[in-house]
Amino acid sequence: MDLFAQLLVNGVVAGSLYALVACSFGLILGTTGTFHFAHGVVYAAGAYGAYFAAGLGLPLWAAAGVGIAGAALLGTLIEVVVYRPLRRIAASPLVILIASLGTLIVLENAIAIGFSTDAKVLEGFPRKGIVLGGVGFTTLHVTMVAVSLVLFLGLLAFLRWTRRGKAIRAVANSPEMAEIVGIDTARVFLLVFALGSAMAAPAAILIMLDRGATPDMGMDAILIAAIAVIVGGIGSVPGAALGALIIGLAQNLGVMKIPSEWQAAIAFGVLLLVVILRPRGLVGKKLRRAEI
Amino acid sequence: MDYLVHVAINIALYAILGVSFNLLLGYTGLFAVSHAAFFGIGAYASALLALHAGWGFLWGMALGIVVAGLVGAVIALPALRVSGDYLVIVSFGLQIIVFSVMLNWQDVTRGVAGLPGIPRPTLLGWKLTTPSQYLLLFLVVAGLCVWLARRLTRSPFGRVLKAIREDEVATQALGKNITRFKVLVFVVAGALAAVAGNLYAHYVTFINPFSFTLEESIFIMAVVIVGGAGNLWGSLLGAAVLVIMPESLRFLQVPPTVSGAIRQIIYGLLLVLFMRFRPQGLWGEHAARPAAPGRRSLEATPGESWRAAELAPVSTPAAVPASGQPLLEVRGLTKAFGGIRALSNLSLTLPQGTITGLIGPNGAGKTTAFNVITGFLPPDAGAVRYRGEEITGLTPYRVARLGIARSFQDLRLFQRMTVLDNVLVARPGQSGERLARALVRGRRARMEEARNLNAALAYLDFVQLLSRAHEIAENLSYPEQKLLALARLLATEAELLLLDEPTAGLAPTTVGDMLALIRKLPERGKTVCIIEHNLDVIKGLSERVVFLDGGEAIATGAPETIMADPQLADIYFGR
Amino acid sequence: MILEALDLVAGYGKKEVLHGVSLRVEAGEIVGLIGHNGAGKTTLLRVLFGLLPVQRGEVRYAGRPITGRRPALNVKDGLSFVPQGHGIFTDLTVRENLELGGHSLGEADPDRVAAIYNLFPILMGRRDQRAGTLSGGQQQMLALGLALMLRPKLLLLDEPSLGLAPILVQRVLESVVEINRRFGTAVLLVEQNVKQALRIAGRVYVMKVGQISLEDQAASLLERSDLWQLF
Repeated sequence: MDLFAQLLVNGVVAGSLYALVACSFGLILGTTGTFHFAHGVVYAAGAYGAYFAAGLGLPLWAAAGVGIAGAALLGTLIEVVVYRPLRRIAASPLVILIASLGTLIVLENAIAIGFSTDAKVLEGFPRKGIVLGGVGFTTLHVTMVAVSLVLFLGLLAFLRWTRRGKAIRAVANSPEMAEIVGIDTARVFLLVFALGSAMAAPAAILIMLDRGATPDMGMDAILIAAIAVIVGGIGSVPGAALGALIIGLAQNLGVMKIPSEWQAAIAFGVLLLVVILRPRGLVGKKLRRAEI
Repeated sequence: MDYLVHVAINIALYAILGVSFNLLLGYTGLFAVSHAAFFGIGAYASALLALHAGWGFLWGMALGIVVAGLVGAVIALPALRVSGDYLVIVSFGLQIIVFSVMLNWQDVTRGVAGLPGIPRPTLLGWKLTTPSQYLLLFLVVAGLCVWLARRLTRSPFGRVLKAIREDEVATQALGKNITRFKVLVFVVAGALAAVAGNLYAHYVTFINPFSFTLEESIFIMAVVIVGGAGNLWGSLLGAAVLVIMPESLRFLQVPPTVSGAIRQIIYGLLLVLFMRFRPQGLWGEHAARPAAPGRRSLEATPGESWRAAELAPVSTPAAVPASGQPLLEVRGLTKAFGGIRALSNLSLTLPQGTITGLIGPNGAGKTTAFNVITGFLPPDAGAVRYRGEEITGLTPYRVARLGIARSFQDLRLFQRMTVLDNVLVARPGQSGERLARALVRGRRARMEEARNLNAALAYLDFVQLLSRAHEIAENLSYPEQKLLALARLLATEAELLLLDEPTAGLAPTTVGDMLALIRKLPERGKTVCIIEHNLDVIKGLSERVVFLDGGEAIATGAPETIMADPQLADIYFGR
Repeated sequence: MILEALDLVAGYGKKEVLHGVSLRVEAGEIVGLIGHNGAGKTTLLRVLFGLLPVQRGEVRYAGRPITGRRPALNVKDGLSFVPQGHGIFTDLTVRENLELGGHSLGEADPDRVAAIYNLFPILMGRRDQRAGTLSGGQQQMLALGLALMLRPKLLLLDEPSLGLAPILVQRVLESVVEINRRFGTAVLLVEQNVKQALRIAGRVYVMKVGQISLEDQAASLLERSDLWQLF
């Protein structure tokens, strides 16, 4: 029983970090229709930005701020430099997806050259162990869950109650109607990329504080996020969070039966089950058909 | 010297992988980024056989082909359920699962440690030892693979693959079982990649999972995209470019710690730049096509005539029921979409050799009726009988093979195929659509292809598009595209033609040409049903009109009678 | 004259749908646009509103050329469009829909929202309901209300009665008249309930195969018994 409770907690911690990447990836996909694989490297850039700033002597909170701002800047830059020109020539979604994969590969390796491929750890978080009812975790784990919960609820509140948030939902719901009422879609896209990038970065920074970061962390994260979004259903931010939580739990509870090195396979196993049994995802709308 | 041979061997390796992936991506439009998995399966299968069972190189190759082919079929299953972005993610998943198996199934694959000491191949008692001998082997096998792929892509089978890439729905409407084609192409592509894996394993004599990662799959994708999807030669070029470019790093004195990363940056950047500036790749699908027809003569088989005037009128099959009996009979069809009834107890008949017009207000259920009759939508209730046989609920391709062909409002042409191929692919009963027949072509198959070519040209002549036969369909003007859609429909030799707004979008001046063609159809033994909103067109075409409202046929009669009925006018124009 | 189209040619890709269309709308009048399906009525509205590029010809609004101007600018200038069937944001609430109708003014003006509720009281009671869950008639009222948030001078209406039961068709068209009377909004109305449209319109254009085939007073068309001839 203790083992189960421990794995449950581990699953929630992992799932909450997955949720940050999944929700932000889902927000970008749902609003702009862009399969933004390069989001993975934007996420990693958040961690490395913070690492770089900390190396300059900034305190941890300020370094995290630099990392988040850097990620937001990088995300909007990719939108402007890579995606926008492709949309202008009416490129198909798959063409944009390939360009996004290319961007991911380029930037991931640029980070590898700049920071080398060994794991980098961000120091300075006051980490303490806590044991509660036989389940052990640290203050950092509590922070992870708290941060993602706050950002998740903050995003929902922003989308629900602010004028810009409503404009985002309007574009996601019907780009044509948004144009008809005079919403500037290009600006909404920029906002979504900035917002999504800023939301993903804290997850990478938290991982760097915990077990360290490597340049290829983005590829794994974005694959999990894509699975979570499809499992949850495209177009639903809570759905993406739910999908992320399910994968986090499945991977960790799976350890009871399956050795831990199969975690990546478990995540995709969940995906295949959902695709075969319920192709529209648990909560969302059906994905449009795309062709190259 | 050995270095150059090594580079050449690598090019040959990626040429095989590129060509086989091109079959999926470039020809069939299946975006399944999992080719390194097939590659790895081929490598592991033959390595394990050689190490544990002492099986020779060719046996290992055979087993690798079989296993990878089977895995290909398994991968095809989810791929058939999803498309586009979904398929990309699902294929990533399969790639990662296969990788996990290689990495974690320690007892068999020895995980990270890999499999060392794979023996050098022996062929007919001749043991390969020097790099040059290997190069020879690679070139021979690569040549065979390219020859095989080329054979396949230039066959009727390959034509259907391209049609699937362009429009799956239209391909089904022409009577093709697209599921079968997709599974088969996955099997073939997987098998060819396995051949590459086998060669690779015996060449490097040591394999571990890290040669078969997701990144490797993306690299193979880059070979095809940079080279040019839909053109086999493009993949050869892509392999050469992507292998040679990073090699130049050696001469730039780049430290080995970063050369791997720079290699990846190069191909990542190439992907981005090609998508933006040259999405068709260096040597794309239609790059080699002559600007004007000429290279391939229109006169396919001298002596045989293909002029439309001499096209034999379609002989009405013997099984035709006694005249007066309807060719198609629809009884009580009902179809609802989430509470909205599109069809409500629809009954109608189409007598043989007539043109029947289907009219009615917007949302009356006309196109839905076509979709249900042709099997694209299952009805909630009711029956469709064709020549007295019940055909309700058959899949679209089976309905089409029985002799019911339909056109689409939005045409659904195979845009990036030639005009001629658009029509050729529609020909019924082509034996070359079977995989084995596509690869081994005898005299009879060539004769059959020639006959189909003649028929296709005759139909192009009938719609007056003969001079455009070698043009790419998307380059035609809109009126020409509508004519091509008609020619493609006729080439199916279907007896019942369902036309969905054949004149919509035509300028008043060209409507008449289309009508003249449609009027000729009954004398060729066709029965026609036409959805049309332009009442002038209906009056000029059909002696018989069915008026639909609320998914129900509420009146049938001559156009003049229908239009004289005040009640129908109230329905059509409101009260 | 509030709107004038001069010899418009437009289409989708290679498909030319409008082969030279000219029409005009005077301030404050209701003009009907009828014709068979596929004649180009919807395409014409989309071109006038700037959703579809013009290949040839000119659009003039309030005396100035607006050919090819972005919808966002047209909306600010008092030209609104209600598209066919789905002129609302189905995932958002009724209130949010109305607020988005006034998006280009900045923060939503509660007075204007109240004015819409006044016109369509039924929406008031459902203001926090998701628009997609409204009935067909209510969705159409919301679509009209959303378009009215900017107090347009001209409303382009594409088949507001599509898919509605006969009794609702009448209700919706009555509210079009009410809008015209109350706010002085000119209306260019595409409608397939031809007779009902003829009853509320002053002038009518008939379209056939991408061209205007007839212009007449609605009243005199209404008396003709051979409407089929026009289609």
